[in-house]
Amino acid sequence: MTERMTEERVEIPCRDGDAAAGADARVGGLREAVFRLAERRQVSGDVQLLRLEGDSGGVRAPGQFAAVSVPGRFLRRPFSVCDWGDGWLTLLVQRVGAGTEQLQELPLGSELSILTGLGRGFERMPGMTRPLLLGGGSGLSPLVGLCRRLAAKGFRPVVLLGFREEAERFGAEFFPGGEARYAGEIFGELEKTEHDCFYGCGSLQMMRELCRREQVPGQVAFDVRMGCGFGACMGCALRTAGGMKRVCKDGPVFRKEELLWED
Amino acid sequence: MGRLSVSLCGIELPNPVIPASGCFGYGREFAEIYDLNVLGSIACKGTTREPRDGNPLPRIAETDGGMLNSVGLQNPGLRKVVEEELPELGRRFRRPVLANVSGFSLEEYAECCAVLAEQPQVGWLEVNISCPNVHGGGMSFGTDPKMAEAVTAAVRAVTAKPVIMKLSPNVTNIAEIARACEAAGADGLSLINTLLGMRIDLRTRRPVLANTTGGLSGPALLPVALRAVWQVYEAVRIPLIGLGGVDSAEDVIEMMLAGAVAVEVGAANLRDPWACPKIIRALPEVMDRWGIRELRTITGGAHGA
Repeated sequence: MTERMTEERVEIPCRDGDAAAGADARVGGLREAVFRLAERRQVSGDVQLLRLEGDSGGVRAPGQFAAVSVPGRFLRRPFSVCDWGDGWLTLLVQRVGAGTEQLQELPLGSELSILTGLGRGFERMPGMTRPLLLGGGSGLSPLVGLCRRLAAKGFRPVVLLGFREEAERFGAEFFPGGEARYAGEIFGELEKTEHDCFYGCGSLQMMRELCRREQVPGQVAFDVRMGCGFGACMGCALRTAGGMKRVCKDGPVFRKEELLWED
Repeated sequence: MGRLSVSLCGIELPNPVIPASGCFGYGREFAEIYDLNVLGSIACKGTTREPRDGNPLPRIAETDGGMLNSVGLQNPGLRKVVEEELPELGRRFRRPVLANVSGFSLEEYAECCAVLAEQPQVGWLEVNISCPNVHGGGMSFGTDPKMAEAVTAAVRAVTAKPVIMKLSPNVTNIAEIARACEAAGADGLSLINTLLGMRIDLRTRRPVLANTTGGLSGPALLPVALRAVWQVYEAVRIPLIGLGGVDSAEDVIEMMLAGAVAVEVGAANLRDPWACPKIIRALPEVMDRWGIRELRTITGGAHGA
């Protein structure tokens, strides 16, 4: 059985639901809170690291994501939680469209409604001694919080970061508890690096390729266009070895075996 | 009877707010965060006879004031819904629900409705006729009055429970479709379903949705939905459920004034999981502001004397 690397569980009744429903307070995974944009750092041409301050208590495990309301846009935008702590969380936002462009230009101090507690996060793998973390582009995001927590538990993860162009590279400095390096040809680099399990995050295509090549146990996360982000609309459902799964609810972290299916 | 209560085909609801099919699953995810019993009722995800995986990704695109979906009626199929989903829902929601049904042939509609109507949790059948007729060259049942009539009659024949036909707005004359359903024995109508739309990705120069087109939901729909409810209210006598872009207590009142007895709230739930309880909680104060004592009295109120 895998053990969840979750933060200590704190019972907090759901804010709005509690008030709306009257007496019945529910502890759900999903939580809504207003965060303040406290800091922004341009880490590459089109990627920013945003630090948001607010009730991050809903974040339970690395690999989970947050759904951010963008003023004037209909759907929330899903982002992996890069890292988090008491009263704060960070997101890596890559400019890919109207919503992300807007987020990148939002004035500091702006308030944003954010859903947290979304998705299944990374889990510890039994017998793990030498974890390898592999990020594709801005997929490195959830690996930051994962690496810090692995390091706190006494591991020293190797972190391989792959990018399409050398000019796009960023983030090796985000992993102080691990040994992080940029990889020119990431799968070649992977083969040369000793490890007994892996955690990956990047495009679905890259993650499938990673799962195909790896002989050791592993878990991967990837992004897809989502609707609600919490499992209600089926907008992100995908075929896996275990049948149709919602990336937002049954994922975004999947075990290697789940992604190995015949098209 | 409270200020918010309404009656839908003879069944009393404590308020007119019903989460729309496809935006609420079977309530599981929402039951984790609030007590579903605050809701008027629930329209479940559409059921087909066989399990369906639905369409390839991407299934979601955003639009100004809304979103597109091409989920493709992913659902576990009739048997699983009856054996697992409805009983589970019944443990979380104590009053009758709308069982939404989709089909690709008259016989499939009839079979699904017959089975679902037997379930104790089901108060109404809500029949989605925006599906293509596989025996009719793929044309949607809901775009032709004769086919709409045929589906209604097929479902009418298999149950005594209230049958509500869910109408598509992608038609030339929705009042005509409505009349055909009424004539064939529908007890009520819900309208509108999604409008057909698409987006194109400027980077790939290809449609955003893998299915090319999808259904438009969200606030952009509200004026179209109101117009449809208005027209159908003038064309039939059976009760109407209004839906399409409803996002607030004010929208609920507007929809009821247009002619609706009850109102479904769909896409709003996707951006705010607490959309429905918030609307319900806001209604009394909004009613006070607009001089409405009891909601059930305002249906069709905008149509004048």
